[in-house]
Amino acid sequence: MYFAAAQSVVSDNVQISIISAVSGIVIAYIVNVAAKKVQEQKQKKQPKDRMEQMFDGYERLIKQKDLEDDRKQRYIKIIEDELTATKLHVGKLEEAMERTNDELTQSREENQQLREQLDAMRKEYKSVKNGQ
Amino acid sequence: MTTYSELAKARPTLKQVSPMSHWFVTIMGVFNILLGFTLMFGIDKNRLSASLIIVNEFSSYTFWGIVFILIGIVKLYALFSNNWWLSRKSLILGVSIKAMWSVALIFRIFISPGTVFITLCWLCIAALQMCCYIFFMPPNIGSFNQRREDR
Repeated sequence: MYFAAAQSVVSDNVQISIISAVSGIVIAYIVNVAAKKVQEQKQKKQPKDRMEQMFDGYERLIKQKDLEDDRKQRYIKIIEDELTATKLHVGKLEEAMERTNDELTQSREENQQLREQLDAMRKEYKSVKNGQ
Repeated sequence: MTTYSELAKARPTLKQVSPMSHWFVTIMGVFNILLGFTLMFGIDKNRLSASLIIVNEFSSYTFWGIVFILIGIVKLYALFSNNWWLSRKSLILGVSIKAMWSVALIFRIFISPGTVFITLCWLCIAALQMCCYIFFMPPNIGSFNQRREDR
């Protein structure tokens, strides 16, 4: 109903004019956006000057050095892991050596006691034999 | 001489940076003024068999004539004062109004056939202006100077 009333107030020509005006503004907006995009593409395509080329060279060198540093970092990490494992292994070997030393000392003491017992038994046997 | 005019003189002209844009803006400025005067004084409304749609009870031939004359004057003034920003704005305003007229003329073809030729001519002018704005018009003096400094 409102639309029909509006239609009666506003003539067809005015309606088409309004549509044209809106279309004109939309087209101008699209043209403006297209112009900006074309300018951006033009800027991208422009050949670089010597200073920019030098900066790019520096950037590439820095990237290369960064890669080298990463490789060194990885190498250091591997060596650290190896060192930790070796330290652990050395600790275990030291423990084993200490245990073996203790066992050796104990065995020597036992041998000494057995030798003394044997000597005592021999002396006792000699004295018993001489007494007969 | 004011600082603004000194700065305007120090800038490169549009003709030096983009000769095609310079000549296009000049031609369109003159064309708009001539078109404006034609719309205001050169049309015998009694001899028109059908309305132009975009010219209705709200907007008369005189109204559009003044609009086109003003746009033409602004275009030529922007070139004279070496104001790239104003050149760009006047050109995009022209694109907007020409697109507006183009759409109305296309409607006019369907409502009352017989104006295809005029519509085609008008579309060509609008397309030329759009292409000039998109491909040949330098962005603005600020970004131009920045690019020159970067180099």
